Amino acid sequence: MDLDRAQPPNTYVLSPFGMVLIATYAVLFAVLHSLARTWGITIYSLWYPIAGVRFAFLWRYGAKFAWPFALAELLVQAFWGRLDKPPMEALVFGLSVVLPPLGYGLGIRLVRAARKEKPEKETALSMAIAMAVAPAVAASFSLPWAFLDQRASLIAHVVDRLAAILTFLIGDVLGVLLLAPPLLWALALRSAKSRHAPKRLTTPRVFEGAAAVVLAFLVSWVAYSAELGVRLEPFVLATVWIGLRLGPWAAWSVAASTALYVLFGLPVGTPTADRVELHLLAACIAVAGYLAGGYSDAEIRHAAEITQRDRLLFQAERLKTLRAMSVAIIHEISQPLSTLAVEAKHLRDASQVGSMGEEDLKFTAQLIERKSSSLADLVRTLRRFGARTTEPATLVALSEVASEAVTVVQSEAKALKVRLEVEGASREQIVGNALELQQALVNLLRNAMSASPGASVMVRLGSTPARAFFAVENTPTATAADGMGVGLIIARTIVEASGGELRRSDIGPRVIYRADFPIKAFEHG
Amino acid sequence: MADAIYVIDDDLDLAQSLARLFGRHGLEAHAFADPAGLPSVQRGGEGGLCIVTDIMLGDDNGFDVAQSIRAWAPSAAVLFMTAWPHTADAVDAIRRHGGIDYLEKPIDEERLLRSVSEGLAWSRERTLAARAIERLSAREREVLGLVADGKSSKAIANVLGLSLKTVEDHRAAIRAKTGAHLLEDYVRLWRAL
Repeated sequence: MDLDRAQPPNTYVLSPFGMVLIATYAVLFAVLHSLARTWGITIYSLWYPIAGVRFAFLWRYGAKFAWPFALAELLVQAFWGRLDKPPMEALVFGLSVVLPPLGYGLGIRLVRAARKEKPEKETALSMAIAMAVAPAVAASFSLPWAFLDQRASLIAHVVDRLAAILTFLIGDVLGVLLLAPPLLWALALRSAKSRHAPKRLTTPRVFEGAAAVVLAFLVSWVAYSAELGVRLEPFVLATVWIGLRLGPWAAWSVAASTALYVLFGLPVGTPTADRVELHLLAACIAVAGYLAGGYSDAEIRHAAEITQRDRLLFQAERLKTLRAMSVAIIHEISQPLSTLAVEAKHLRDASQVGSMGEEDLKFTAQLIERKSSSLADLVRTLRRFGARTTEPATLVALSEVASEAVTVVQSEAKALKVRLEVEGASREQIVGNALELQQALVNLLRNAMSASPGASVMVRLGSTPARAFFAVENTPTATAADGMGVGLIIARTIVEASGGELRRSDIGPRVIYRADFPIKAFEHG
Repeated sequence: MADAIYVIDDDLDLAQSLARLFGRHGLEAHAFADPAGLPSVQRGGEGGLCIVTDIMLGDDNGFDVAQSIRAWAPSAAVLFMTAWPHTADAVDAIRRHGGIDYLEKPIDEERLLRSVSEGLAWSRERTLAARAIERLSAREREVLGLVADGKSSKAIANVLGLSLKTVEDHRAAIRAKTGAHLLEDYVRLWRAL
């Protein structure tokens, strides 16, 4: 799932939807805030689920809702009669209510400003960072008023006050990390904008993730049996590992399970200090796991972007090749055009005279047809070669790649008086993009041709049980021309993108560039 | 007169198209895709022979083909065509290979027809000159060369160590056998040798 990246809709505060959102938030606040008391230790709770709702709404609909949400919370508190205090106390309490939502708004704004990502391109990593930063900013806002709060006198020492803020932070982080991702997912489902998450939930990886969890569980169990108490540290590692390998959603589910255990499943009578420690660990697990997942997501996305750029580069290179070949192509076209011109003039002259033998007419018509179709073939080949590649990898036969590539460079071969020979065959299919593979072979052929003008260049095809290959062989006589290096680099990139490898070997004066591809790799790709 | 044109192009369609073009202009023309199919003996008669050949003929080279044709038909006029015009080739075509013209594809029909008729005329003239020279004796050919060089009879007598009378006799014989009267006739004949 990649729905956390869904573009926040352009929602206005003063719109019917905005009002409904604020009202919904107020109701959820009333319910979840009351619920949070179950986990209350000092004045704060170790799990504060409304923080998750708050974060999800602000992340999706914009930090501009921070103020309305703060007011909604204040209204609910007023409704409960919590503001019925002397003015000064009421003001301090009001601030303590208003500041956390504003802190969330600021935290989200800060992360968005720092990450400089367009909303529609926001990555899971940004969200993971914001999920940690927003509660931290809100907690830092609590610092001053924690000292002002009258109830702070219940806590004897400054350290205790700071510990209270730590509790606040743990409760919020747990609330955000447990609730915000599924909530955002549900909200994005509503907008029905499907997104394709990176495909990495392969069976082996799922087993790997499960193994990590089982291992962590075993270690914890051993620790528990050895009377070391409930140890969650192994789960930190397992969650980070799963995040890196399986992405934020897998990490989230592990972190959520751990957190749910901590929230609901701790042995009765666990001392408060231990509970705080375990909650802190659960929060750490969630943050670390989600960060790892976000990082892994971002990495996969970058890899995809690089692949996309490569595609564009290959496209540009093909157009460049076509341009370089244009002189040769013009002359290739002029050959059939000569025949067409002669015959057309003949027809015109004959039509003016008004008589033309049947045989003559037939011959002319056949010639014209043959020549136009050969011109059309040439144009088609060139157009195919210049086409934009958007199609994904398919099964490709190297024989076809070779014959198309040879057709494309034929004009240039003629101009350079190079003889092109194709030897062998490879009917085996490999996985790749036909057009790009053609480009790779064209680059190798053009390099070989310009290095050995007037000689012959051979394309050799073949296959072994596991691999199919094409090779370009020549005996260079001329020194390397400009652009040959780039052509080679691109050829290599394309070959490697198809899971193959390109190697050069020299046999005496003969230079061979051979590209090997795995056969039947399709089911693994 | 029985002029003939041989069109050689590895694209047989183009060769045939051109042959038909010449045919429509009342010229006898034959198309060949491969120079190996060319006749290899001089045609009889007084007609001219014009070879229209592509420079790039698969494995063969139009220039080499022209040379080999010259071996058996020294008076053939050669016209080169190419889809790959290079200045160096154009210069070679005319200077080294004695081409009448160097035509770029797509072919300019007017120019092709003009060049071919020029080539045929040139070839006929050379055929005639060659025939005439064949009738001359070795000594007469020597004299012809010196006359074409612009030398007077007296000078020729000195060079060859002959009497003025003998030189005059040779010149009369040349006139009788070839019909050459003016200096330019002698020059043309000499060139055809």
